[in-house]
Amino acid sequence: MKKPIVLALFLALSANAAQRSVEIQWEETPGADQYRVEVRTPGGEVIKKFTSKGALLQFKAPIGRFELRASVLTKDGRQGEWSEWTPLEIPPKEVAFSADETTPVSTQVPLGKDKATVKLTWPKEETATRYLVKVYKPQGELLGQKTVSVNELALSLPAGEYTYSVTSLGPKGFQSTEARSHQPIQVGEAPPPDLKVTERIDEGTGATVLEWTPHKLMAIRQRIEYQAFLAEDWRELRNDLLPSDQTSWSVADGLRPGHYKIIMSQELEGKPVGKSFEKQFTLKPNEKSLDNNLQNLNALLGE
Amino acid sequence: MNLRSHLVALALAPWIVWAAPETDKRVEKPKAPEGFQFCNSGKEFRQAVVFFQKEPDLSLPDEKITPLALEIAKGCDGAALRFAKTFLFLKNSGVDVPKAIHLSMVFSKLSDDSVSAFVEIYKRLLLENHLNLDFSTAYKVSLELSRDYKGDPKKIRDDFMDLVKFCLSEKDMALDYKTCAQLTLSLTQHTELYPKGVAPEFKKLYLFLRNHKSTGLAINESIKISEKVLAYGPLAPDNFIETLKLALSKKLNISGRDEILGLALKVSELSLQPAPEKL
Repeated sequence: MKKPIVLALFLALSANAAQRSVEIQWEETPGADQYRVEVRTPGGEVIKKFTSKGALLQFKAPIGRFELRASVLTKDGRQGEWSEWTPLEIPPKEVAFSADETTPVSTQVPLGKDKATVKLTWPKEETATRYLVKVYKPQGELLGQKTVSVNELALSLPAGEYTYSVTSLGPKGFQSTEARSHQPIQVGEAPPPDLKVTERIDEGTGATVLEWTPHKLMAIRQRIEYQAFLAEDWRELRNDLLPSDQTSWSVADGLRPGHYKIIMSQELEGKPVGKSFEKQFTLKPNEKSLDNNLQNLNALLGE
Repeated sequence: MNLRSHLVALALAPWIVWAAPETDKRVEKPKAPEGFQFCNSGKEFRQAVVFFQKEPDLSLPDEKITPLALEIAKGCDGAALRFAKTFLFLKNSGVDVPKAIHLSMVFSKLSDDSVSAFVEIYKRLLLENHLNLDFSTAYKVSLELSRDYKGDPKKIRDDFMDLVKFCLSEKDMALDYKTCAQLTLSLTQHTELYPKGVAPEFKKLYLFLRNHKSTGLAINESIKISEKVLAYGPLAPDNFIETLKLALSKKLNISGRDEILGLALKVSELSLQPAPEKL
């Protein structure tokens, strides 16, 4: 009598968290009335014995490596020869990422930092005791991997786009196939806050005053350009970083009449960030400034 | 005139020798031939050089100062002062230094009154306590009424200042900057027609139209009619007023307000007519 040959092994999630449902199928043997199946540990301890009418059997088993064999029972109760022990591996189940969940996992690198913290979560897999998380660069190159015991992981990543996978890990190094998440990881650069400059008129002097609140991480650069009336070119009067405690500037600070551009911008580690503030204004002379030195004309002419 | 004819003209000039004071031999000048003037060019050149050396915004190398000072000295007496005054004024206004030098050169060759007209008109157009116009407009108009003005610069200056003051003054017209600027520029087009400027005639006509018990026109209408009448010369205001009074006295067969004003305007238009051709 022929020995049964195991044809297929199916694994399915069991209701029992620690076990998986195993389905095995073997080749029908002519003259067989029933089949006898035994499952044993690699150490030789038989842990399950079944008698099946058909060439298909379902049973539950814990994650691990086992061996199984089968033999034929005839109608008259005779048992055929046992098959060879066939190895049976029951790995943890693959993490079930939903194909519909494609929303990127997005975050931004905070201002002044190199990396952002990204929190990944995935469906819990009951048969897994731990998870191996792999993060890939866009070209598929592995960026890094980490093993965790819960179905979430906080990662510190520089700005960029990534993908990730999770592999369920069981005891004794048993692991599922690698499950790829359909959610890309997107780490952007946090936009720097715009420099907000407000204008007011000083009640005492009537001068326009610019006021701002400096960001603690950023320096403020002030550039002042001047164009005399009838001149074609603008010339830079000032281009300096302001003291960190300076929060205002008055237009009436001894400026000559003409056209002015005030450009205020923020810098982080010497690089301009965010939108700058620009104001153009025209400063007219007053009666007093127009007559400046006109009383000393004779002296200026050497008389 | 070329150099030779210039020298000939000088040689033929009736030379008058003056009893000059000991301190300055140039106090009184001899009479120059017609079309010429004698100039204290040495003084003008020296003053110009000193000014260039003393004025910090004119820090130029000596080789550049000399030709500029020579050019200024061509403006004859007072040229250095006119240059310096115009330059300082323009510089204090915020005008580009090279442009200020150029324009000051131009004014150094004009009269003191032209400089004064430019300065005073510019101030009134530009400054916030006067007409408060933008720089470009103030600059352009003040040049038109000084450098480019064909009439008497002193008259246009005084007329302009008088009109601005009357227009802005709280006790007179008390109008806004924009209206006053438009009105002043419109009226000063006629300044040369009036021996004492257009301002006195405008004031007279405007106040008549505003205050007359029978007319009592609104401000806008009074301005509009005054501008129309004043365009016809110095006799037009009196001709207008005379006709208006006549019509209001009911000696004419018209009674409607618009009709009366229309008639007075028509008569005032006849104040300026082409002269008859000489036979």
